[in-house]
Amino acid sequence: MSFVMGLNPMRTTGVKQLWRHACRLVAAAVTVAAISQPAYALIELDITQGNVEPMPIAISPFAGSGLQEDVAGQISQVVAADLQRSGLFRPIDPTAHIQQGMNVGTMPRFGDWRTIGSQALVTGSIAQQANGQIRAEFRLWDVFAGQQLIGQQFFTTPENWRRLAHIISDAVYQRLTGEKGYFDTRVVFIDESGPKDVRRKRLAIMDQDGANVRYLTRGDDLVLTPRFSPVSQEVTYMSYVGGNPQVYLFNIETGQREVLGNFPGMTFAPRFSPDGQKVIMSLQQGSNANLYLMDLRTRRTTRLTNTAAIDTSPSFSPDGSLVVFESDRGGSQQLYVMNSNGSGATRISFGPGQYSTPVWSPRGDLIAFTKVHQGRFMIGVIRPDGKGERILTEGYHNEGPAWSPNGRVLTFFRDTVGEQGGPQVWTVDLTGYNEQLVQTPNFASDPAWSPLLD
Amino acid sequence: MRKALGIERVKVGARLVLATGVLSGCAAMADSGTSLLPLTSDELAVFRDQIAGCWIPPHGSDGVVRLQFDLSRSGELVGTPQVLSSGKSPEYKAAATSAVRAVARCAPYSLPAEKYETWKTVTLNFDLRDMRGY
Amino acid sequence: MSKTLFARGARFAAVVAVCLVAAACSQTRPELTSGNSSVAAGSGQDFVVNVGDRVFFLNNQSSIDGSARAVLDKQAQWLQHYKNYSITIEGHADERGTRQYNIALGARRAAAVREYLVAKGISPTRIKTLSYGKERPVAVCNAASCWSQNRRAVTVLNGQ
Repeated sequence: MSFVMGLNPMRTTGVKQLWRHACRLVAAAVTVAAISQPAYALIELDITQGNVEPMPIAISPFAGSGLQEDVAGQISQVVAADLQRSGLFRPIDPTAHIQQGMNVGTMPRFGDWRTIGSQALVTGSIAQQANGQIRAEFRLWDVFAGQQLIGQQFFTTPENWRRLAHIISDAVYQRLTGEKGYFDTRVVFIDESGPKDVRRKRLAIMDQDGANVRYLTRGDDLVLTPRFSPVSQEVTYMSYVGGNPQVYLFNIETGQREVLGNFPGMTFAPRFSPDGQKVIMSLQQGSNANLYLMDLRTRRTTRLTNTAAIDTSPSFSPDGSLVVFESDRGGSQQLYVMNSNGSGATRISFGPGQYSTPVWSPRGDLIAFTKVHQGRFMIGVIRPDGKGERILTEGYHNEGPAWSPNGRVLTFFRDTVGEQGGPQVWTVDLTGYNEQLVQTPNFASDPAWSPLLD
Repeated sequence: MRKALGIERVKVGARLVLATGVLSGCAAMADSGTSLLPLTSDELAVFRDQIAGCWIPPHGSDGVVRLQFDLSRSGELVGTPQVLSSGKSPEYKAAATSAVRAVARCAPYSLPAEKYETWKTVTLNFDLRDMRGY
Repeated sequence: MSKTLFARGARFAAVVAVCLVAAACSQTRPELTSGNSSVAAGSGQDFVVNVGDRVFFLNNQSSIDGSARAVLDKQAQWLQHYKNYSITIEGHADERGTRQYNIALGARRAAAVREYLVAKGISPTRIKTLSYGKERPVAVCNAASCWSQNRRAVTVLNGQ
């Protein structure tokens, strides 16, 4: 904070100099004041703290003509639900809106929106086109500045209405938070049904909000730990096809499945490299598990670790230069970071308990993990240098974090106790305050986020 | 609301003493009827808290937004705040929008009427550099 | 309680009984009729009921302890006698760990049993190992007693 004349010279000027300099400015200011309105601010403050509360926002129910009336209403509801779940916005109940019946062309009465405490406003219209498509238009308004921040128009088929809603949510989220959204994304996961001791596990995919669940395998074979390609509609996962557990590659669009590599043992815990061209995984060799890298184009495999230990759950840094993984080489499961050629492994976790399933944030700044200590299972984050560990959620059983593509939210699964218990997919943001259950038809585990869809 | 964080008093105090010294020295030199009475550190703190309480820093942003605005004698915002810094990135745009909104939302401001000449124009630096949304 | 759970309980009791009498068993040749004489000698049921198809492990351990050795000694004798069988050793873990680590831990347990049987003269070519991690529990209650039943390696006969 400072209290000086005009532009702030304090950071670069010595005290004595400042004296003279400031006095000249005062004199100037006073002189100018006599002639015209002064343009000098006499008070200058640094605001370094804000209010970490969700932003109140109004999503005016979208207008729809004829057949599209229901769809229009549903789109605005999905937008409101997306923004609400992010924890960064608090949509205001539409029944509290003073200005009703808006369409995308209606000029907002900003005073009305300020009265109900709204800071931003979204309006929209959906119209049927002659060719069967729908035209969707929306605007984002800044209620206090009284101006439009975004105006966009889309053409698509009516069945695409949920994606359309998520795309609008992403646009609003990015304009108001400054970072990319994550609503127009999907999550691949393991659907779990049946009794706990003979559970049927199927590879499945859903929208990030739990809608549009689709099954990718029938459940004849045990499947585990799916991971999305960062660049294509492909998933790598572990399957027990023919009683021979191996890592597979699955193309979501074609339904094509292939085993990855010809390893002399069980392969598991696969994950794509950031460019999507390689898969890193564990190979079981007797009592030990070692990390291998497979190039998807040349099909060449490279051994990365060689220890009398369990090395597993590898995950690349976003630039591909480093790999974080878990290993019990030091006696208990801990996190290690090494170069992506396997050299220079360094332990980064030192807290009490065991650390597992590390996964590098797409922003590169954090590594999420599962931590087990005194019978509690926690999801936490730590910086790649091993500092700044924070626990975001803990309880009986939380496991397997995966990042949203913008690195702001983690999805994971939470298991519940006993014979009737089972896992469900949750999300938590980096504050740790905003935890959300993702509704799924059955039990669900091992969620993994897609990149933003194109 | 989860966290409404106050100001750092040490920083305020140190810089204010210096600034006050400058002003009192100058008032004599200026030899003018217009005496600029400085705000006390408490008055500045209240002002800053008010703005901080109205500002929801955007999660994805990182940088400084500098803006200036005029206030009426009753503490109302006159016109729209003028953004002095510039930037084109989504992060900067979101930060600038949030800063303007905070200033507009917070008005009117309660500042001592007898010192109006001092606070009728205000410059704020909304600093997101040490702020991450977690 | 379901039928399968009851059957499992009975089988578990039988395993414990075999463990207790193991010390009294012949060292040269398994007493194939010393247990339940109503099952056919050399059958899969004979192996499960009279020999014991599984061994258990301590939390996060894969070492073969005294009671496990007793079972595996009997398995080795039985397998020496009935040479037509090949086997799959399935390693398992309890639910109190992460999926990936438990897959490796189950594999480590299966490997420990394999090593033991090989040391007792069973040909490695007859043995396959497989890990199910924590995905195939036999006991599903939320108690340490259940978890200890799930930390196991099961020797499965693969036909003659």
